[in-house]
Amino acid sequence: MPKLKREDWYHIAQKVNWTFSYVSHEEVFPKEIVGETQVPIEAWEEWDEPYKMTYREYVDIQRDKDGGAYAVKSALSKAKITNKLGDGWNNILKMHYGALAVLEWHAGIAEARMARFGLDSAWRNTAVFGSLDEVRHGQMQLYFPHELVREDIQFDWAHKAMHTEEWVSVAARATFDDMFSATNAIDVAVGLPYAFETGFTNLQFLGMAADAMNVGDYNFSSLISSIQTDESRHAQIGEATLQVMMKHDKEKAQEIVDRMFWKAWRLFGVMTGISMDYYSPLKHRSMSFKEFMDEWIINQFMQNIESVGLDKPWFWDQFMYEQDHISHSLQMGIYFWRPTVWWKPVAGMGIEERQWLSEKYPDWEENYGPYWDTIIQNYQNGAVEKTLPETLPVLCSCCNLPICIPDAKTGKVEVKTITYEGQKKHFCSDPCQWIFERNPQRYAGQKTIVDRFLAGEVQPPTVPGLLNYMSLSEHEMGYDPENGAWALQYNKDKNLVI
Amino acid sequence: MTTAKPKLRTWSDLAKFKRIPSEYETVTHNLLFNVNGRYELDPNDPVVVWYDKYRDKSAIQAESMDQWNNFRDPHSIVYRKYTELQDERETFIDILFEQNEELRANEKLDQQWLQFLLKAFTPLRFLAHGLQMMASYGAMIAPSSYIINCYHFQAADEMRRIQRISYRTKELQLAYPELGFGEEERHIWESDPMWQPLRKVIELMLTEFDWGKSFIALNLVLKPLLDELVSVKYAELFRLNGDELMAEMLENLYLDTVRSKEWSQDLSKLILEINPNNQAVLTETIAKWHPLVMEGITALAPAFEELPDIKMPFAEVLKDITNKYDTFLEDSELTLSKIS
Repeated sequence: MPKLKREDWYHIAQKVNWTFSYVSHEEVFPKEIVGETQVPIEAWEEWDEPYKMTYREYVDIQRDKDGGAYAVKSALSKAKITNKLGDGWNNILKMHYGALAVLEWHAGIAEARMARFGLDSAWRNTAVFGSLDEVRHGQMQLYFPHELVREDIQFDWAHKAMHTEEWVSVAARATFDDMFSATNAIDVAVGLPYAFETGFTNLQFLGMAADAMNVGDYNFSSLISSIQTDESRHAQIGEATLQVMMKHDKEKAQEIVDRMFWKAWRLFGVMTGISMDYYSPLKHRSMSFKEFMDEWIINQFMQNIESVGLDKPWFWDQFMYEQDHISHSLQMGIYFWRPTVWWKPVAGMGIEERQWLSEKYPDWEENYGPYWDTIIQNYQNGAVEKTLPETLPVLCSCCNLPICIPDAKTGKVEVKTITYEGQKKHFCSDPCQWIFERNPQRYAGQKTIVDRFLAGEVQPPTVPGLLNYMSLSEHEMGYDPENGAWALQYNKDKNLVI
Repeated sequence: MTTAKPKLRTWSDLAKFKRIPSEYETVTHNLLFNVNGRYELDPNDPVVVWYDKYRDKSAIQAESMDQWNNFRDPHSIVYRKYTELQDERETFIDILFEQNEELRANEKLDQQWLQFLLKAFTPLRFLAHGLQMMASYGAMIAPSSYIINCYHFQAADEMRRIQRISYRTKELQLAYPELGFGEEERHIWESDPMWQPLRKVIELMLTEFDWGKSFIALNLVLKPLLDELVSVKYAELFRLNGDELMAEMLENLYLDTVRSKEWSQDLSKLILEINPNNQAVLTETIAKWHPLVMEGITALAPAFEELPDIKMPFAEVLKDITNKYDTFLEDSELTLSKIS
């Protein structure tokens, strides 16, 4: 190898800013696409990423990583492992690929936005690697599930989901459009790599890889752990940007972190919460979602924000309260509305699973047991139609998820309604209302699925019409793979076995 | 009514082509889902408006945005192919540097050549960073995933060039600490008359936000002309002046330029094919930037005719570049005569 070490020459390549004289700085970096802060222009030249890598190292290491991950896939392709893992685990795969494969590729566009409009050359350069990483993640997470479409058409949604008006897709896009797809460079730098990647996905991917290994899905495990190693590198864009902002505009930094931490939490609750507490096969569950949050996410996040000098988000009480609720509320919603998703929502409500839920969440039986008892009763009475929807839920105008999570102050689901420029807007929580109200011009024109339904955009205005609008054919729409058979194991007279 | 369960062999969106797609298509096809203002945000949000104005309503027009999904990178580069290809190129350059270190450890470069390197070679990293920023802009603004990925790789290629030049800059700094390598280049880039016309082009081009026009300006004018000068012609100049190893490095970096030229030519053809009215935009945009870029290139004449010991007549350098550019345009189904 050549003799000079990275640290000998790296700064020469990394600091290549210059002062424009044929055009103004503002013309090269327009504020609508760069974002606005109190940070003086020259202060951005202090931007410094803690973990450095050269192009030469990058292509070498990444080539090796791909070699490993693709070799595992190639070896396991013929084994058809996915078929044998059961509907619960397959749901996790379908949800994961559908909601993340194409979106991660889109995160590459956001990285490119920073690579162009980041206010220091080191920031821009680091984002070039970030953009390549996201191309990698998008491409791998399309390549791996691609062969599965032959066996199960729902895997088509790895590619298709984000092109549809399916409601989970709309909710995911509402969050990620805000976080990175239509977001100025400064907001991307704090929202995506810090609030989301450092806050949630970096650790989530570690957890998921371990779960996949437990279940025996070595393919997915190797894929996810390979991706995670990239995340931890490019996520540092967030902290490096915050280090500069904290000196000059802490308020702005705090505001972006709070906003995007909340939105990330909402989506994380659906995806990971339900996966861990309901879809993951019971015998392979190592911890509940709440325990996972406590051990992996919350502690780490507290340390992270403390180390950069940020405060806890103002909605911390509601956030902590929701640890006991988010997965359960949304599981109820998704199970009931199961025709409207691209996987097969299992109830996860066998007797042993229910006991597990009560162990992990002592108030679960009191809060959620009665609702499931009603569903059980309906199945036992042969009234399957009563376990299915006829009407629409109220959706939050911020996160686009059903309003179903209780408020920490009252312990009840509270729909918060405001009127903005003559339009009624409903919110699931104080933080979602706060996000909307601090910048209503950014969100006001977005229509939830219910808004579209009421505006006559869904024709005919019936459940079948809605499914068609969501591009869910009869072969793609979700259903309970046990068709309620799990409900029949409960004692008919008393409902509860326990 | 129950319909027969469809059998898929690939994404439903690719099944319409009625053939087994390549890995390239499987992981590149139609990934961009927010064209035509399809954002879950208010349509008047400034960033949403930016994409509407500069991408969806670009001067380069298609009947439908989906037509941009007809583009194919002639090299079908996917991420894992890119890292493999570039790892090999970088290994080659590593070997060059190793040889350089072993064979020329005690060599003293003459002052005249050192002045050439400081004034005309090591400042290139600033110029290339401008090209990198523009390529990244292409990656954030292009209207199809097939095009966007080409830009991502092009931006990374520019970074590769910057880092290799920077490595050499550090070697020179260590060997000749008094000359200002690694320190003076920003000042030279900002004020030396030889660089100013090029810096002007870069700065002006950085403010061209329309995706179609920025593609034409960067990939059909600036990059093919400039890289011919600072890779191919510089390589000749280095070789003439006894710097074989740096000549080989520049030629290796030029392989990246060739890849950029090839996909750009194919995209140029698609632009013409999609809508004949795009011909006028192509012609006008090339006509706008061509003289400015030529002015920038011409200002580098002292790098060939004054600074080095063994010189190259700049008129011939220019002639070669111009001829090669004419061929490039012809292969893109464009000609300078149409333009002028």
